[in-house]
Amino acid sequence: LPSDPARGPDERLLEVDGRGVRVRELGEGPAVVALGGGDGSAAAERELARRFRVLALRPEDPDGPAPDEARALAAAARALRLDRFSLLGVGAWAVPALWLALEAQARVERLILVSPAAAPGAGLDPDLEGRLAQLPVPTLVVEGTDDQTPSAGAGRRFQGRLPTCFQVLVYEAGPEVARDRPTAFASAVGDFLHWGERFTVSHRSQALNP
Amino acid sequence: LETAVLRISYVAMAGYRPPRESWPGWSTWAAPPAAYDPEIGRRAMADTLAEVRLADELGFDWVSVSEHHYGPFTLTPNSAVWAAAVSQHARRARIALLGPLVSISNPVRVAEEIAMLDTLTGGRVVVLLLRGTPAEFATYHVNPDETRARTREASLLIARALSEPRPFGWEGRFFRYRHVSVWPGTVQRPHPPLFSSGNSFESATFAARHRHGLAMSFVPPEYVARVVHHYRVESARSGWEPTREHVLWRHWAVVGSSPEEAEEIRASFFGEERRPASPSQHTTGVVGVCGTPEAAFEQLRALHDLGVGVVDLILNYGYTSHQAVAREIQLLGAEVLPRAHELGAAEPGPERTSFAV
Repeated sequence: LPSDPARGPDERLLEVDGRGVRVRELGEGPAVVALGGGDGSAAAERELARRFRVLALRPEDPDGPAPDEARALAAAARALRLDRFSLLGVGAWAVPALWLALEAQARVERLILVSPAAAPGAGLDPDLEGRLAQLPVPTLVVEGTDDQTPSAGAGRRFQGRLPTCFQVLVYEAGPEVARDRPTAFASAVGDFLHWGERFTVSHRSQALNP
Repeated sequence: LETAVLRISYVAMAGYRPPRESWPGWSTWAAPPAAYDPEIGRRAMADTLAEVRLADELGFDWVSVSEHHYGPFTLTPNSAVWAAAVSQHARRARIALLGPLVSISNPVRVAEEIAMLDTLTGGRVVVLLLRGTPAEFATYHVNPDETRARTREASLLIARALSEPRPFGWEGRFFRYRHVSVWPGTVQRPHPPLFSSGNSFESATFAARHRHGLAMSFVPPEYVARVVHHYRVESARSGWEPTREHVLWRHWAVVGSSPEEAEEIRASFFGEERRPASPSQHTTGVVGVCGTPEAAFEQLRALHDLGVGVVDLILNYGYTSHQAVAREIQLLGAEVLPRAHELGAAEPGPERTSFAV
């Protein structure tokens, strides 16, 4: 989510296995590790931080293969003493998020892929694609209805390959969903983080003037 | 849907024919339920279904239904229910759902109804997704200021619900669903042809951008010419080229075997009432087609020349008898339809154009 290149007052540098990982943290509650995201996602981050402890991780020089990035992120999560956490991967960071969820599936509660840059049959590493069926983590794919990028439609590609996968389309949002519709984004993601598979049911009262 | 000819559609109004001697003139929203006579209501539907059968037998291309609330003008507050009934009497014509008022409805419910109808009819459904009139916003207590935006969101959600192969959630501005997975599917893929309103230039732009057909109602030819041009320009900007099959015009129509007969029907078309207010600012204030079959054909040909491919004709506002309407259907079927179907037959129409999402 957060990707502000300027190191803010709440951002710190973590040294893990000789490599730097920038960590920006906001809010309290169940931990959500956020990977990637575009400018302007701060509003969505603040919305989520009302209910969750959002930790935006940004490895320095992230040029390695996705599995290596995932291992570095897993080490960072251990260094942060995150026993259980949910994962949110945006765009190109959806792939490391998937690897991380596979490697640390006992610790990952929910997985959220936002406008993933690759999907089954559409640029996803075949090794990773072959392992999707073994990923038990409930997964949500979030995309914008105005997304015209070649990777749009990833949600329907992941569904049927991952054992438990949902997709949410955010109306009038492009690939940078959190920037375009921060409240809508945080609503869908927050409900999924909180309820998991039961997020498909409305838990809010619809009584009028009770 | 071929491109060049002029298609003719009969509007199955199910208009309530009130007892003239004791009728204070409630034809539009909102008539008191106490004024309703169940026998007149039953007869309105039965007569209309007989007219549907006749129009279908005579080769009308479409039979259309619409949605209006709280009034005798048309007894069809649920267009899907009425379309299902009509589809059992029109066995050949397309069933045109023109249309559900999506600004005041549950869009997923509308998508489910469209899918049911398309299945029921073997893929004969055409759909116009409409906003509705100000009175109808009040029917379901919807804020009028939001209805344009609600209509747009609902239209796109319905198209998605009909075509998305996997379950999806929708986080909209007015609608939220966590799990949409419509069954049955449609016969027509990705979904039945969709139209949007063309009663404003802004709406025509929306139709063009989303590759919907353009449907105008109660507007004069001068407006048709301008908005069709605008629609074509906006469609080109969006990378496609609509044809006549994408352009529909609806209006009141009167046909008589002589000018005098047509004038007699026209004079009492709206009873003693004033013609109801139209949401359009471009209304002619009179019936849109009137005269002998020859005169009516010439009026319709002028619309075809402007790019119209489907004319949706309302023959009854509640004051024209069933017998007179049936006679008008016969005149149209025998003397106008064949000529309409020959219009443009020689012109090199573009290839069959599909209505896309």
